[in-house]
Amino acid sequence: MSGLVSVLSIAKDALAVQQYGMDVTGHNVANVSTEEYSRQRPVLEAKQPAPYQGLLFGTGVKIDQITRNVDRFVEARLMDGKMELASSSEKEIQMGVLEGLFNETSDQNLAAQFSDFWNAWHDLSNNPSGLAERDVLLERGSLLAQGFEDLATEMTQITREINLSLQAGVDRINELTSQLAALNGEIVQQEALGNANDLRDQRTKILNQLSEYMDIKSFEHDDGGITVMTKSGFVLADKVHSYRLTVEDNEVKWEGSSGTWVPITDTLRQGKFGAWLDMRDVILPKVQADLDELAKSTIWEVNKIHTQGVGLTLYPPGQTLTSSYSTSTRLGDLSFGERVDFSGTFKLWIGDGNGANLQEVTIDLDFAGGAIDENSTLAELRDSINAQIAGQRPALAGAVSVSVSASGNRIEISADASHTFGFSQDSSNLLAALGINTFFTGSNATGMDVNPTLRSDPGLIAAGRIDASTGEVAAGDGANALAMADLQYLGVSTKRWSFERGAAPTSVDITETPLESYLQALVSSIGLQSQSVQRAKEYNELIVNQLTEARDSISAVSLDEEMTEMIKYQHAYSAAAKLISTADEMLQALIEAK
Amino acid sequence: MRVTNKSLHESIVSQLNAVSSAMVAANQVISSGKKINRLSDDPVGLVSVLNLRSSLSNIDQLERNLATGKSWLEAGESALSETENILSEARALCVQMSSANLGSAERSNAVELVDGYLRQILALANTEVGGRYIFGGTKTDVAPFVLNDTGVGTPVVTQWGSENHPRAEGLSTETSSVVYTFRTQTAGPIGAGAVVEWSTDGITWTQHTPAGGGSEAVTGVSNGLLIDFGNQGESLGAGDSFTVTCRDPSEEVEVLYQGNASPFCVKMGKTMNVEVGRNGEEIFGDDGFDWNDPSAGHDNLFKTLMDLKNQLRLNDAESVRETLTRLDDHLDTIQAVVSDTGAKVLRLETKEAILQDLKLGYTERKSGIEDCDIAEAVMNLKSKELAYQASLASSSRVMQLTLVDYL
Repeated sequence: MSGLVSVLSIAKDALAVQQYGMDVTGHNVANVSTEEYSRQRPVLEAKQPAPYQGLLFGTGVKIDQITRNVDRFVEARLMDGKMELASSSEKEIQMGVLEGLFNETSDQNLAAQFSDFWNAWHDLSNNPSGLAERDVLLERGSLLAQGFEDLATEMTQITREINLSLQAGVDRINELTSQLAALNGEIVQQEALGNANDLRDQRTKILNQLSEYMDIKSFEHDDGGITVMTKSGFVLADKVHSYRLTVEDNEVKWEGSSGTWVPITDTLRQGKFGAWLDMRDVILPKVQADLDELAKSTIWEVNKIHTQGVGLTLYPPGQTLTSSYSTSTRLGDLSFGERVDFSGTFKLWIGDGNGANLQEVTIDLDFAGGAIDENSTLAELRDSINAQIAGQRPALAGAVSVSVSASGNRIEISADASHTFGFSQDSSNLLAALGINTFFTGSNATGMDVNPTLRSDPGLIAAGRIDASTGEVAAGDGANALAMADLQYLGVSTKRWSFERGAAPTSVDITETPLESYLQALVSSIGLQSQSVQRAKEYNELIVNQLTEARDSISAVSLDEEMTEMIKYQHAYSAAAKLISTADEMLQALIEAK
Repeated sequence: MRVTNKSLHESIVSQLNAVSSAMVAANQVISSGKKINRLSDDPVGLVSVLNLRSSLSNIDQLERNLATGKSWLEAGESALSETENILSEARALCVQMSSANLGSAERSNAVELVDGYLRQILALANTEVGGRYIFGGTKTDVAPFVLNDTGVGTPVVTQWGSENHPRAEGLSTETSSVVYTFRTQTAGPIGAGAVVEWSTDGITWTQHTPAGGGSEAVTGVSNGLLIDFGNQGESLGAGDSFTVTCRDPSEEVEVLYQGNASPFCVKMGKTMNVEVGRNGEEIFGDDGFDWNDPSAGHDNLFKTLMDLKNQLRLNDAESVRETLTRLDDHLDTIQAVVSDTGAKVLRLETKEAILQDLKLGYTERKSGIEDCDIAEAVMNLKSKELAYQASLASSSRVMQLTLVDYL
């Protein structure tokens, strides 16, 4: 079948095809700004030729399909790149916050508070009887403790915020996976008819969004549906089914088909979840642990020196000192219980009502009538000390007595109405471990504070020491303050912690490091970490930019190109129209020839 | 390569972002004056900065300590130099008064002078810096030297020889100070049967024969005073004498040290303390020092001056001459302390100079690490600004190009 009618039919098809082409071009132009849109192309094909008079005549054009220009390899690489970028840029933000906390580049920070604290001890040693110096020291001590506590609180706050983000993130992931499952269904349905181009674009967009949250991988089935799972193999969406995640006790869990919740926290390494979990489980705990370690060492070393000294006066008549650390079982369970030397001794001095005529009682932890070790209870300690007071100074039995607090977990030392007391030469560290005659209370960054007994009477800050040979307390004695001022130069033994996901924290012993050097190392490690996160982010950004460019050069819309296409279709349309009018003229000629 | 509108747009945005953030960073360097604005800007440099900052703060503190120390040492030095001057005067007086040409009237007149010296030195021994006494060891809140001048007291015997000679006991109930001088008339052991004379003015002498073996009141000597002429088996020469001083309730007989033995220190560096206060006993002598038993300790300056007063009052030229050596000893002691103090001041000044050098060096190093070179930073900003302007200009041109305009 050929001839003019066939020409008309060819022209009609051509008109229609050019219109469809224009349609697709229009769709592309309209979606030039649509995210994840891949440009579409009509695939034109010559129709089956028809035999006529021994010849095969072409029968015109048809649209075989409309395809989208996508390179799966580039898309997959891009998704991986975006996962890492999302992870590093989220981490950069978090590290920025952490860095801001340790704002050591300004003058108001922990390092400066340390310097101020030591300087206050220097000043007190220059004027041990000065009340102003004592007030300043209390203030500096409080600021230092506050500095520690503020940092600890802020870090807890960051952890809390991360946990909230995890919760919100899981909700978003569940929403995305259920959308994916729904799209899978629609795509499978539509692709029975043709290419579900726009739905696929939409699915890519959702996959990309999902990959910003966590590390995922996916593969496509023959029917067009995909399976998405985490990198470690937990299926999130499989064709039309989606599997939920949840956050329970700050753990991310995956709901298997049998309804059991499997914890997957430690398998998430990339995307925002990777960043949040790295921050929460590795970086923050390390900083917190190191900060606690620093606070702990500071408290211990300062208290150890403070317990050797005496204030301007002894503890006054009627005073009751309650130990700041508690244990309801054995002494070894005190916060610093493991640091007590149970073979040591300390001296308890008992003065008259005016704080004069001091008499010493040497408290020996190895006392024959009641030796104390780490398994002793507070009651045993009480009995041993009371027995030693009564044994060495029968006349003073009961003048100063030790008891166990009503709560049963603290030691109390109290003087009666006509006696005073003080301490010296503690080689056992027991006083520091109990928290009696100490400068700080608390045992880590969060609970650190200045001993309230000193706050209510700054005169009790132990700047001096009881003269062991004369039993005198001299107002101008700054021996203990001098020892304290030396602490800033002395190396102390501490630990440095490191954390890893899914493993128990480990620590390295650090010896002979001054407290401030420890802080400097901590601050510097935060800076280094932040720097490396920034560099990783810059690198990932570069990679993602390059891949995006590659992807865009394949899939994105170029208006110039579409304009050219438009002209092409326009001209082809005009030509087809011309074909019709020419065929029409030819038919006219035939009709008029009759 | 296809360049699509999206990639054109995105590359323009990312380039502009990169250039403008570099410009903001360059601007921050200039406006803060610091190269390091966040920990991550230079974590390694920051450790040095933190270290230098804490060292600098420590140096400032040590300088304050040194200033405190110096004020103590200088106050001590001037008080002791002044004491030295007064002692020199006392010595000159002593030389003058030991001359045999002078009589009791001149010596009595000199008593007032010596008393003046004593009070001046006492005031100097109680020198304060910022309300704290510098010669009392660490007992800085109480005056280290106190005149014990309240009420009647135990009579004090001054004598030569061993301590086994007579003692005075009981309470003197005299209403004014009086010095009884006892002398032996005969050589031999003092005790039962020996004959002694006593006098209050060195002119009129009254005889007394001790019963010996216990405390006894001497007839004519005022109430409350008991003298023990116990025979300790030692012999005296004829004319050997001792004095018993009974104190007027209003007149001092002793200066007691209230301080302690540990001198006040300041910290001049890592585990380095320097004693800037003094144990007053080391300068002015031990409490209750007995001149007759020099091995017992350190002669007491106040005691020496009081003895001198009594000797002058008694017109005892020979004792006055002997006191001269005691004064010389005191002068030696004080000169030694003054020169030691001077050496310490010098040490502190050397340390101060070292600290200043260190401070300069540390400040320079710190500044080198964290402060920006303004000229360099401005040039940097300028170049970033230029780059920004250029990319704005080129971007705006490229963005406007489209085929649509030509169709």
